Amino acid sequence: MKTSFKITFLLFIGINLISCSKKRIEPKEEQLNSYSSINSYYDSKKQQEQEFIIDSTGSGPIIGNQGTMIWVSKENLMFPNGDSVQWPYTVKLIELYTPKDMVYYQMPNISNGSLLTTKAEVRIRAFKNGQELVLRPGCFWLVKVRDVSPVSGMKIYYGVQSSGYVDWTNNPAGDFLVTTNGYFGNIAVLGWVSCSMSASVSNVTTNYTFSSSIDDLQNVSKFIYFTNAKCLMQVYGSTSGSLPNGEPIKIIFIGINSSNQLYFYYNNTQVSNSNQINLSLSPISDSQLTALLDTL
Amino acid sequence: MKKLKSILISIIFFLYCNFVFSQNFGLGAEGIYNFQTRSFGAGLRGEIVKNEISIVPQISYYPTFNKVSEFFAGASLHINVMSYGTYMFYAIIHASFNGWINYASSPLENAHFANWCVDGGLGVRTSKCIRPFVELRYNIKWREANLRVGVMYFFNCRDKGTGKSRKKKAVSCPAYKQ
Repeated sequence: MKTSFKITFLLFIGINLISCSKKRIEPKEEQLNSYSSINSYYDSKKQQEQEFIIDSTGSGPIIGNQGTMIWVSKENLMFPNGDSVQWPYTVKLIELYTPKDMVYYQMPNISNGSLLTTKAEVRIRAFKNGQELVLRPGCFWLVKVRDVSPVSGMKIYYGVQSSGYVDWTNNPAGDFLVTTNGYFGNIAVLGWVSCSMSASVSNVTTNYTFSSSIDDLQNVSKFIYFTNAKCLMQVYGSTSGSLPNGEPIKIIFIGINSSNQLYFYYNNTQVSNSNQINLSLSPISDSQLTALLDTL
Repeated sequence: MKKLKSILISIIFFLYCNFVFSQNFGLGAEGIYNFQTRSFGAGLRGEIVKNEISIVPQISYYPTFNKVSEFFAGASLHINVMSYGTYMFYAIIHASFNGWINYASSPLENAHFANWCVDGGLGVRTSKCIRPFVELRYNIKWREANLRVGVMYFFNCRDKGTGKSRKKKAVSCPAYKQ
C-alpha cells in the first residue's frame, strides 16, 4: 500500500508540474511561421560580377552584359597609397538595370531618406594583385549607362555604406548627359554608381507599419516599388521610410522557410493614410516569383 | 440560474438527510488557492464516511476580485490510502458543475458559463472529530491545480484515547462498602 501510494503521489505531482495551463487568464501564444535568411536565394538569382583583365591600352571601352560601357585609363588609377598602377589589372563590373535585379542585390534607390528616380545602378571596381584601386583625385573614368529612352537631368550618385546598407549621395557632384540610347558620365569615385535624379513626388508623406499575426516578418525581405517614380525602397524592420502620399506603389515581401519554400506578399496599391498593414505570406514558386518581379 | 438553484437545493437536502440519519457525518469549510489562475476561493463541504471511503458533497466559490470568478458544485469520493499516526492520506476523485461567472473576459476561445469538471488529487487529514485537512487537486478540464486547506467537524463523534492517558484506578462503589 505504501509503495502504491508513493507512486500515485509522484505521478500526481508530475502531472501537476507538467500539464498545468494558464489558458483561462493568458492569451494563447501563437506560433508564427518562421523564415530563414533570404540572402542565399538572392545570391543564386542576382547578376554576377563580371571581370575584365586590362593588359594594354586597347581600342575601345569595356562593355558589360547589360550594355554598360567603361572607358578605363591606367593613368587615372592609383593604389590607395598613391603608387602608380601597371598592366595588367582587373576591372570588376556589376550591372543592375531592372527593379528585379535591384531586389536581388538589395540595392534600393533612396538618398538620405528621399526617393530617387533611377535608371541603373552599376558597381565598378579595379584591382591589382588583390588590392582594390582608386581613382586619382581630379581624375575620372567615362561611363555610358544604357537607356533606350534617356531623359535629361540625371545625376551621378555614389553609393556609400551606411548602417549595413548602401545610401546614395551626389557628392562629388556630377551629371549624366543624354546621348543616344543612354547617358555619359564622368565618375570620380569607383564603387557603386547610380544614374538617378530626385523623384518628383508629393512632400506630404506617411510611414507604413507592417505586422502579421501569422508570419514572423523578421527574416522576410520587404520592398516597396514606386511605379511612377521608378524608385525601389527597402523596408528595414517593421516600419517603412517616408512614403509620398498618393503615389502608386507595389509592396512585395519575400520569405523562404527552412525547406526552401518561397513565400510572398504582394499588394499593388497607392500610398494612403491607412498606414497599418497586417499581412500574411503565401507560398509561391521560383518561376512565379521571378515573373512577378519582372512586372515591377 | 434555475439549474443552479436546483443543484444547490439537492445538495442541501442531501446534506440534511445525512446529518439526520448518519452517525459518520461531518461538515466543514475550506480556503482554496488555484495556482494557475492565481485565484483565492472558499468552500463548504459535508462528508459521509463508510469504512475506507467517504462521499464528500461540496460547493466552492471564487469571488469577483479574482481574475477567474466562478463556483463549483459537486461531490468527491475519498479513498483512504495510508495512515501515518493520526494522519490519514486519501485519494480524491471529484466531479462537479462549474459556473464560470466572468468567462466573457477570458482570452480563452469558446469559453462558456456552464462546464463540467473532473478533479483528481491527494489529501491528508487527521482522524479526530475535528479534522483539519490539506488537499492538492488537479482539474483535468482546465488543467489547473489547486490547494485546499480546511477543517471538518464530525457529529456524534468521540475522540479515541491517545494511549498516553493515565489508566483510571478501579474505585469501589461506596454503596457496597462494608
